[in-house]
Amino acid sequence: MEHVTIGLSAIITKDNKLIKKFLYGLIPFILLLVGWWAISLRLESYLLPSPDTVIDAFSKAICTGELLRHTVSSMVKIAGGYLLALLFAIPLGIMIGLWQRAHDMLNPLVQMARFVPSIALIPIIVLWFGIGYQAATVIIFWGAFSPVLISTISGVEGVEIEYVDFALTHGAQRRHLLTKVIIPAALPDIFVGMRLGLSYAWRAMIAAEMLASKFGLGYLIMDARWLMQTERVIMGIITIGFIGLLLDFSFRSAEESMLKWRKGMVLK
Amino acid sequence: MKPKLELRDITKMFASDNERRLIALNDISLSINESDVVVIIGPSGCGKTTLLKIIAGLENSYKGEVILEGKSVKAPGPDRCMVSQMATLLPWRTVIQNVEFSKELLGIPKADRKKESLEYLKLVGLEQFAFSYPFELSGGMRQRAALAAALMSDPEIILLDEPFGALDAQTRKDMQEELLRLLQRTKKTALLVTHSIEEAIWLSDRIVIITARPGRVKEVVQVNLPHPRNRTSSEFIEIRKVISEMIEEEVKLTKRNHV
Repeated sequence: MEHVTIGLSAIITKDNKLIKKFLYGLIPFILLLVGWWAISLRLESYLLPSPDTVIDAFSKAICTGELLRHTVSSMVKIAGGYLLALLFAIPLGIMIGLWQRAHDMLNPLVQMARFVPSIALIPIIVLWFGIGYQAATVIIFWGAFSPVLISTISGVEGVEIEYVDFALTHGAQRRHLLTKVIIPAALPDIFVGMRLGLSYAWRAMIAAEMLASKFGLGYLIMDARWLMQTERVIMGIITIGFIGLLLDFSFRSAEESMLKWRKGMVLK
Repeated sequence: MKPKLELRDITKMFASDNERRLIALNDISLSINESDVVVIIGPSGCGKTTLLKIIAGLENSYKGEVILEGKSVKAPGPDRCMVSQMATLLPWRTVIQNVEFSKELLGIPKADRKKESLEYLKLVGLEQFAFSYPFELSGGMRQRAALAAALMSDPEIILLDEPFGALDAQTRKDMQEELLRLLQRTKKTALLVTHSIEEAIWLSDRIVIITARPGRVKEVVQVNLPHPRNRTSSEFIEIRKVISEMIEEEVKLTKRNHV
């Protein structure tokens, strides 16, 4: 027994840190699963189905292609709405960050807009666009827009003057500053906004699908609820969380490779 | 001989909070010849850094004129490259990308500027760190990289703002030697600001002593010792004594004004 544990820890320390991190991250999931299973034994299945019932639901939904169809529908929506938000929020944020008058003019509006959640817009968006992709895109756009905009503004406003001075005394013209100094210096903040924006957009999308859609993971949950299929509700929840995790992970990897120059991120 | 750089009656005022105007620099006039190494020294707060920034074109509300090679200059440019106290480099660029920055701005082809920047990196002994990021370098290495970047932009005059202030004593000495070697080799004109009297005497052809605020030129001391200078020679110590006394006088004056 003793040398088994030693052997295990040797494997963990010898192999790279990633595996160690992954294993540590797995522990709460295992505890959650055990807890769920224990509680589900004491409850009616419609209140909390057992893990194996949910696994059954998963395999059924995967085989019929239902899960894939809804997942793809959600991914297409988020891609459209999110990219559109980046396309508008980043340039606008740079402009507000650089130009004091634009800041004075637009800041109150921006600050107000960020307190209006996407979900509050759903009734009026549905009124205008009906139920479907257009409505979802607008709602997702709104969810992602403010965090990306606000982080971009603060990133641009926080650019150290010494970097600008360095560029100017090494021959930069005003027109060089945006691409050679401002954007690269603000990029870490822009990334923070983009990651935050993605999670906001994802939540907004699920809400939109629950209330104003006939496809997608949010719709899947509502559909299962109407049919009292709690195991499919839980399947939907798990899928939403899992895809969110995947999105965040791929985002972090992209961020890490693009921001290698940042000390903190490299050391972490 | 026509001077490389000339300052004519530079006066700079700061508006302080209680509407009183603070005179930072008062009628500074100075001329620097080709390939000269001039050091500006003075008590802290006398506006030395401000003066360098004015020359670099990074300050715009001042009176007087900065004349480079007979032409009045106002905007910043690579002809007056500045190395800052913190050895600023662009942190998102590798060392070599920082060094070749000025050539990249000029649109020089990648292969050419890479070749040239590697030569400069070799000159400052950083060729193995060409592809490191600034955060991976030590303080002295960052200074070397910043110097290489400045030399690469081929300035008429290189401005150095307390370049070795943040370094430990040994690294500081090494860097002083390094700088002198680079300046002699590239025949560059240099204007350096420092707190250290010893550094000033060791490096410079001329030392400009600035008074306590408002900063004026108190005295210009010619240093006619041959290089490499001996920090313990009697001439060296004599000059050091003279300059120390002048600066102490100014420091006392500042203290009295503050009481």
